[in-house]
Amino acid sequence: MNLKIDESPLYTEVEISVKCPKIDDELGEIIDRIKMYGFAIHGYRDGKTFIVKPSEIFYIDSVDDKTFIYCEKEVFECRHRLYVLEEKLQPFLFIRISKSCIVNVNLIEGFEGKLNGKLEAHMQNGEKLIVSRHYVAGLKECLKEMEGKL
Amino acid sequence: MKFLKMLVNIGAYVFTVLCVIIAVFMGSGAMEEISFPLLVLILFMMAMGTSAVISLSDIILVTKIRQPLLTLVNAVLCVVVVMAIGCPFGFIPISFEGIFYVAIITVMVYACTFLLYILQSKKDAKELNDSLKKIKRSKK
Repeated sequence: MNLKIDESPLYTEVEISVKCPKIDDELGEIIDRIKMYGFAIHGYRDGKTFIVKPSEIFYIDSVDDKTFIYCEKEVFECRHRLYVLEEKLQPFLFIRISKSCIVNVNLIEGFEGKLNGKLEAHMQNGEKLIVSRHYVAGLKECLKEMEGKL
Repeated sequence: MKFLKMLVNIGAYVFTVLCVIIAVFMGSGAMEEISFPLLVLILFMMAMGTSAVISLSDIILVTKIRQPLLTLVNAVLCVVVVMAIGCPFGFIPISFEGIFYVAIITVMVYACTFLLYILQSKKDAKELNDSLKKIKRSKK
């Protein structure tokens, strides 16, 4: 495999081209990762638009048909529906934990089984989110998949 | 399938409510009039019974049974509750005192179910934490 990197201040944007006889699984995975490069979501707050990177998002919640993006300390409104964001953010390891919430698995500190039978996800910023029983199996599968890839 | 499940759930609600209405307002034979504690007991049974019948419908209609033990407990409870509701109406020939025993059994069964839910959530939390720890260790 030949890797050519051409770095110059003359370029205004990043361009990546892949030349290959056939796209195999490994290459497909690399292409998927490249596609994620620079991906960001528009968040709105006080009439201003902010660019929010997936790695900064702790969780996304939907309340009364409005979608909110929760970062470490800031909250932004988002114009996308939750299921659209779920699809877009799946490669960044965002997973649904309840009907109205998707969470960044990378930023989960741990889980706790509560005395009322509910499961709680503790985020790295100290927030606690309820995991619906319905989504526990999906969460387990996601973490097992991550384990397998590492 | 979703529509069918919804239909059965609604049916379960209607069935349970009807049972209670019949037992409360039209019950005769086993007792002359319905006292307030009994009314409270029957309403309590109604709540339990609704939950149990819905769980039973889950057994029949959901192909993937997630917590078979819990559902089984609820199915047993369903029978117990139906007995309790049927007693004042005279459907089931058990003594009046039987209702209170049934109430105790109901509470106990529900306590067990609740305990199982707690244990299940603790087990889930442990499994998820183990996976998370492994991932974090590998990343380091």
